[in-house]
Amino acid sequence: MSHERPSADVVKAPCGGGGRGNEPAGLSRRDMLKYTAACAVSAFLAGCSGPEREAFFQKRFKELSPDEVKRVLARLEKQHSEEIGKPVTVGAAPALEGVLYGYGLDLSRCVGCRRCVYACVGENNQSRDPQIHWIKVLSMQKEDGVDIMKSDAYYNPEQVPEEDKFYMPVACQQCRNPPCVKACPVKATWQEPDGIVVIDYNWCVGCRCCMAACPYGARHFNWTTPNVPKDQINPHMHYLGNRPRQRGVVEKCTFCIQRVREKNGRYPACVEICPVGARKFGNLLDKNSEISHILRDKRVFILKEELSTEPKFFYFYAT
Amino acid sequence: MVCAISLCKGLWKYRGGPQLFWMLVILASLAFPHAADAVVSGTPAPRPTAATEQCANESCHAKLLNRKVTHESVAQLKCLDCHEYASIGEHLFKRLNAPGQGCISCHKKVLPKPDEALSIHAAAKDNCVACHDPHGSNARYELKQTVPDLCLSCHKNIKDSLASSSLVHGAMKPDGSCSGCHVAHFSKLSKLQKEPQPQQCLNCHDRPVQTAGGRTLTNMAELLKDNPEHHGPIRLGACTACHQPHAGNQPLLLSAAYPPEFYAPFEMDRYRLCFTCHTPDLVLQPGPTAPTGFTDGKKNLHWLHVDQTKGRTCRACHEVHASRQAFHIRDSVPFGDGGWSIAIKFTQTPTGGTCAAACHVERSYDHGVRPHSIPFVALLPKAQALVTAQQPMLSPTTAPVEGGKAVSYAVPSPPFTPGVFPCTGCHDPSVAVNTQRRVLQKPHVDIQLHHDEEHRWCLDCHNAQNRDVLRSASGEPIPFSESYRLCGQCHGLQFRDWKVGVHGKRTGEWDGRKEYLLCVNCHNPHSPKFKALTPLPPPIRPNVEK
Repeated sequence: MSHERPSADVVKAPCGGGGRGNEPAGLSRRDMLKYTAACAVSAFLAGCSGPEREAFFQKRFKELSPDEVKRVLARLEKQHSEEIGKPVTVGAAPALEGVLYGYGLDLSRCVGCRRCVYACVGENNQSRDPQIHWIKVLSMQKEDGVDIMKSDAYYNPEQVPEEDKFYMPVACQQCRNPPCVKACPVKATWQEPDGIVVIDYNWCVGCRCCMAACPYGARHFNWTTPNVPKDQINPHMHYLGNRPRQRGVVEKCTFCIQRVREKNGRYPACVEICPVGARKFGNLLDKNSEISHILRDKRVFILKEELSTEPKFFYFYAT
Repeated sequence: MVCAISLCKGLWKYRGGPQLFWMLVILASLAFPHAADAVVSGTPAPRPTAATEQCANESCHAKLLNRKVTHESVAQLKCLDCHEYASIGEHLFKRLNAPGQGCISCHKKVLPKPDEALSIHAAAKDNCVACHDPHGSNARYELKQTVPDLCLSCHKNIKDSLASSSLVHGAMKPDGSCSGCHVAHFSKLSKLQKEPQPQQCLNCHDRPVQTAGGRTLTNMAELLKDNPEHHGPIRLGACTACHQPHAGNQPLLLSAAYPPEFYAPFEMDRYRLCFTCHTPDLVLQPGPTAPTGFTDGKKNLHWLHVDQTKGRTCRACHEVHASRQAFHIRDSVPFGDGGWSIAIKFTQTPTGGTCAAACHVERSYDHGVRPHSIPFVALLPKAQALVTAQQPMLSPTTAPVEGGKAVSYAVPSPPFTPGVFPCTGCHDPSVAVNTQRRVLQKPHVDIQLHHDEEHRWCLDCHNAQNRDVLRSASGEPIPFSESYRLCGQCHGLQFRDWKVGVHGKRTGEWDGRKEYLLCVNCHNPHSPKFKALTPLPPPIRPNVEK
């Protein structure tokens, strides 16, 4: 688009400000558009350095060969290190064998302090301004029970918990039957073998169909280039997780894929920060994991069960 | 021989050769001192075959005897105490260096027994000759140079700071200075200190000391004796937390900026010294969650005091070394130019305090029952480590049995108030136990029982016979590090959940090493209900009009 506007001025200039139909005989509107498009493409290709061109022609992540993945990661590491001014690592650790992640959240413990929201922002390099929060903490009236229509995400009392309220943090529910994946027209988002729904930011076209499809409001769109202070960037990155996003792509919670897929796997950042221990995380296939104990022994529910999204995010009441 | 002569000839003829020739001759004579004998006499001189007075004759090693201080073995010409022949014929000696053979074979007390020392001088470990001349020297203890030059030849950073600093500690100036505070070989204290601080410092500062600048320094021993409320670093034996021991550029050898005038407006840069240990939030955070006990539940009263231009800051209320009032609050403040001073009277209450008739009319504050997670005096990690190091650490415990197989998890030490453990330090087992319910006195004024207080009392959980452990309902002693067993007696459901990781916080690896917390790491055992928190800011509402 930016190429077109100056060219139009150039066309207009020789004809002395004449109106429609006053075009000089040698240059029709169609020709002009053709030249402009050709110029734009050639300027783009000429102006692009190697890495940019490579990024432009990169295949879908799932179709890359191991060698190509290595090259892509090296390119990203170099690019981000230069941008940020400190060394970063961009990994692409695959899903671990025999692991299906599940998440538990104890509604009888959560005090709504929002520590998890900001731990997540820091860990996953979310944009600070405009603000993107992957976790939304809803405050609800005790007398109404879980009623999202009556919830408030913007509560701001001096102290929490408030007497008559309880709190329900909502982030991506990591559905087993994810409507967002079905909605994506370019297959830029999919469910990994360990159950994490991920996005290839290099393939996302920013149509936001997935956002419309998600019943939990868990997907967020980068309207501008994400704005993260350089000194606050988490340099430990994953290709499908917290690496810096471009403008015009969708992002979402990945259960801190860069942490949980490490050897032995660290807990996600929100689990580690929670001051009351309300957040539980583990392998659903391991019968001794915390999450398995919760599913066996506690009263558990899932959000919007009637939609058959089959979340792997379980709310429970420990006592 | 013929070869050598023809070589010499060739060398001589070469341009510039004569100089080179003589140089080689000199070098050769230095390298083989006894070669000349052979040339002169024509026959090899008899080599000494045993260490006798022969070694010390005029033409050989006599100069080893001409020093002020001579090694005992040298004086007695017992060369073979330290040397042995490598080759008798060539008069080659080597040092006895094998373990137990060198210096250490006689000087047995130079190195400590295992675990006897906290610090060992690196040079003392295996390189005695770095400092000592093994034959003798003109300085005491056969040192190669006099102290402090010898020490400073390695400790360049101190040498540099002495050269570049405007103030040098008086203890550094007289002869033999370093050894006033440090020992040479090993010490039970860190940094080869002779005595623990503050005793070490009080050896000199037990009288008014005149500085080179004409200032008279306080008699610190007397001040500390008369004023029982000591500032933390003095209690912990760390005068060097605030003062440089060697040299510095700040007045009074302080290690960071601290204004010399009494009333100086509060700025972080002016009071850097205080914030080398204390968290700045102690002062800067206005709300009641600031890490300090000086709050009325609405505001941080430190912040209230410093947030004005007159300059009522740290030192306006606190005495830096010691005072007679709690929190080392000073006894009086100077007023005007006439040398007047106005008394401050601070009275501590179990949950707050009252400050009377000095700067303002009598005002009181009450911080209520404090959340366990907010410290009374917040310290930066380094200073906290110093405090923790003084506490006897409880060993990590092994515990919960999970899924039938014994799994051990390290849990952190219980969060004791600094200096409070071991309890038997104060609670003498031989003294009769006071079983009356009462409002607790110092040092337990901060304990307010809100834990089924109608039915429970201290000695339901604390062991009256041995205060260093807890007790179960049946009287079985339970160490503090396994307090979850005590809590689990009543809170069985939570205990069951905690063991499998459903109750309480776990950090670490979801599929590997996990860290547990003790019940008391999150719940104050005396008032276990979670305290309210200040929530972090809500998300910004989307502005649809823009």
